[in-house]
Amino acid sequence: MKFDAKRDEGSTLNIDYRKQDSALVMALSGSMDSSSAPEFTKAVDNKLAGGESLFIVNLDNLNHLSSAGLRSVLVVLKKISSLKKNMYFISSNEDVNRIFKMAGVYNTMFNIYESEEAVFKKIRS
Amino acid sequence: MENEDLPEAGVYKRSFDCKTESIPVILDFVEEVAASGGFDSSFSFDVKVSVDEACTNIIDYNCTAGSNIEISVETNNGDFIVTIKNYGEPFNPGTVSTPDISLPLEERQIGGLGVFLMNQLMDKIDYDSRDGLNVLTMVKTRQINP
Repeated sequence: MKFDAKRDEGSTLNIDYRKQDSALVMALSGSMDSSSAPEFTKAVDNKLAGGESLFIVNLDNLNHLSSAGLRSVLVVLKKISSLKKNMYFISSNEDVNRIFKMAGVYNTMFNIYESEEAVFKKIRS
Repeated sequence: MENEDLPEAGVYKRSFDCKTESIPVILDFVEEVAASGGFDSSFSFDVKVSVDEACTNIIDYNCTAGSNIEISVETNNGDFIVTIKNYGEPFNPGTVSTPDISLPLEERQIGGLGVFLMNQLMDKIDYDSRDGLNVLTMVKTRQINP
């Protein structure tokens, strides 16, 4: 096997932003590993500073989530709740959900919705 | 990556700097071996989480300055065997207590959740330390669908 250890110096976590109604939709893709997880925390901090108060975080396209990633999710949620803001998570990603379930956080410490439609339905209800 | 020159079974060895920036490169390496061995993406996902946890613990707590982590990955029939070697403080994941998963994540013992996930995701984990060389071996076996 030819394995070349070449990789761009940039992050392995990509975040796409989209505004829908009053919500900021953050679509995460790539890897939430110990090197990239802090970037999620940083990204949310920046958007909070920019005045966002309703976040929808889509994890469908994550291809890696370690305990460092889990921890950053929990740290962010704690901050969001202390600031009385709202954040909803979406994942129909079975691999990601398996890790959430093992860690005992799936639909216990926070709710995970199966789609953006489900979140918007919940918000509007 | 070309597939034609890949053997069905084999051992792939790489050495990485003992630093956090190596994690994505290590995970790419593991993923490529898994893909070339025909292991599916969920299998590969689980192995990558375990390798991330093991290497992150080594990098955060057990590296001798300027040292390397040597990783060998062996695929043998349905077994995926990862061996992680480093020189540094002994660290036996078996001595990390099982986390209380009812506690908020931030209140749990550092490193405990990672080791817990490794134990859940892999079928076998062995650890040995001799003369400063730590050797962690993790095995996951592919489930054959009936």
